[in-house]
Amino acid sequence: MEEHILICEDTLEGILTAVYTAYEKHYRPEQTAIVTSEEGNLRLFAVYDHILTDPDKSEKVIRTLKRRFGEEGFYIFCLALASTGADKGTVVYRTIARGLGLRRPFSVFARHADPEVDRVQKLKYNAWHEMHQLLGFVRFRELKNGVLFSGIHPKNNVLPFLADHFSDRFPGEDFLILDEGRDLFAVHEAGEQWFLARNLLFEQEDVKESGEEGLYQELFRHFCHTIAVEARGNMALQKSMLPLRFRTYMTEFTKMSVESGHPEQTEDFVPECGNGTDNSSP
Amino acid sequence: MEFLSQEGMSIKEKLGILSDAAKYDVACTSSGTDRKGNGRDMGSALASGICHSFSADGRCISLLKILLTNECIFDCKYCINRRSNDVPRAAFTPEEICELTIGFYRRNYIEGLFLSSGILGSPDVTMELLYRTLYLLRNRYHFRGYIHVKAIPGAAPELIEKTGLLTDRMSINLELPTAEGLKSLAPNKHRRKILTPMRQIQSGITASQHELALYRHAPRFVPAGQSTQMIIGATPESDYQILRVAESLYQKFELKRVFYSAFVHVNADRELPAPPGGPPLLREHRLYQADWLLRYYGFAAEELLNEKKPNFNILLDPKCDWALGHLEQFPVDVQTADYQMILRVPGIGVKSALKIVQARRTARLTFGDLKKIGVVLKRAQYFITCSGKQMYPVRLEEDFITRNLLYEKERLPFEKQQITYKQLSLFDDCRFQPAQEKEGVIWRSIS
Repeated sequence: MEEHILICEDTLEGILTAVYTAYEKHYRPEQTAIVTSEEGNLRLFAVYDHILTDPDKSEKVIRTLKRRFGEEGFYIFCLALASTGADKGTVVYRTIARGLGLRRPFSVFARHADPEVDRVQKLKYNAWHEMHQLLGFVRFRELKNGVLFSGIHPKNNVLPFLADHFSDRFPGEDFLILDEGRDLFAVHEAGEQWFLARNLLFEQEDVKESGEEGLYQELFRHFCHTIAVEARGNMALQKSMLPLRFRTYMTEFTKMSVESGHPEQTEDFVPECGNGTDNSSP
Repeated sequence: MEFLSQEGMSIKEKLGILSDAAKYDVACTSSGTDRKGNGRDMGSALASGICHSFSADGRCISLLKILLTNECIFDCKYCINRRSNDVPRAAFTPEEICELTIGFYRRNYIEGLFLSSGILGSPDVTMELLYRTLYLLRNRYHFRGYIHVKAIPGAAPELIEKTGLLTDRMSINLELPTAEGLKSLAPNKHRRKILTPMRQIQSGITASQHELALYRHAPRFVPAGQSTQMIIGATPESDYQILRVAESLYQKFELKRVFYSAFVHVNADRELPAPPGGPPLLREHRLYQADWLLRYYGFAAEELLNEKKPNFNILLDPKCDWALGHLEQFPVDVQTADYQMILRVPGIGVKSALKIVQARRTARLTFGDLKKIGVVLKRAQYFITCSGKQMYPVRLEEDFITRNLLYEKERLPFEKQQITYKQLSLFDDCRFQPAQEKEGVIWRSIS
């Protein structure tokens, strides 16, 4: 029995194309792995396949998943595949295979004692949790032309989920969310569908902040400060609920924004509250 | 936007005063309503609620929590805004509140508005102002985000009715658990005036739900339910009394949440206690734990406490405490015990109990599986068996288990940590200081 290792692109389409291929060629799930990067150590008794992303094939898989597992089941797979686990392709494939063998595929998610199903749930939770945190932690800045801009740096690839949420919430706003780690933009124009884009170019003039922006930032910083009850001070709890890595991008933890509101500049802001790095007097 | 008011006070000063005055209200949840966007107006709401930030006391900032005004004709002894206090007073106009809410909401600072108020002139006048603010926000600014508003005790029922159709959640603070406590500390408030609107909102919610079942587009009255708040530690009630009050509020008034607020000593008054160790946070924590046991775990107040044992154990959480007193019901086998019993095992929560009943249909569970499911075996191991076997062969003795449970120290959310850790970077300031000293900067300004 030989093992098959399918190497594909790290996108939903890429991995689902690999799933399609594995099904097409009748590879046994327990002897098949789907990985998104070359392994450092090639294994002797394994067959390596490079999979080219094919939108038609992935579309077919998506259709099947939605039909058999339902929207909710498909959503679980999407989130699991947006996570950072190196084994995500493999465990998702094996869970799909196990589920499709059941009369009601969705019930596969009730098998918590199954290590692969459990792993899918953990990966899903991981991505979902970071997404849910960012639903709150994203901070928009209003630019001169009225566009709302936000930078984030998530571990999991949660940008599409955020774009879905914010286009539902702000149908009449133009907004941009930049995933700095992946250099990926989510773009939404008022009244339109959102889309993902890479390598957007900006005029220096476009990315300046609007006149009111500084004022609102100041008001919010002031609010966050006055709303805390001194007698209950608890920085440790604050830190565990709102980890420092998010604070670089959050208005209330950064200093007054610099004149030019260029996106890259967000990283220069020092998180001031909470970690006590800055010893100069305010 | 006009940022100078008539009295020449800037909006920032007002926001400072009126958020500072609102901060003792603990409810800041944005949960309970699921409202998708309508493709045109700004705003949506998620049933789970969203926390947008966390303040330096570790509490979530979800809503723009402000008072309409901190002027008040009442003289409640515990309240910072009482008539006899000499504090700076301010008032927002409804338009200012709307502008602020929209400005913050667009930038994703907040999930919505939490609006409360001191009593300005009379309860009716105040309620009318709250209603006008909400009306503007919903109808002129077309805001579809979350709104939590306070109902003013003593306000006309029509005003409460009208306001309830604009808001998501409404709350009236019970303030103190018993009528005697209320009488001694809040001379202008009467228990009856608090419970009457509470009952009105309850029947309004029920009526609205019936109507919605018939007509899908019927207006929704307080769709996220109502909540209330009690101050803990200002009056001498026992935990048992407080829990009984909470239980009857859940049962008789169908409240969504009862909040407990550890008494913070803000006014020097001879009627008030001055707790030496600061606010009674442990007591508040135990009450919340018990509150969860009431709402999600099927416990009754009498099971946890009684006349002879009126207060919670400070060393053990209420669930462990209960289990140790009822060892005759344990151990239970995870494979066969019913859901209600599994829920009662210390170390197993609602999520893991659900997972256990799901997973055991297709597998024989082992302790390894339980660990993966999320059961805290440190606590659960004494009370459960897998395939008829205990995890370790231990005696089921109260003293023995208590000793072991106490040895594994409970983690409390408000314990101060001595040392905090932080990733070092080459670009950090080289003027290193020991971590302990840095704790001193806790209350430095954010701005």
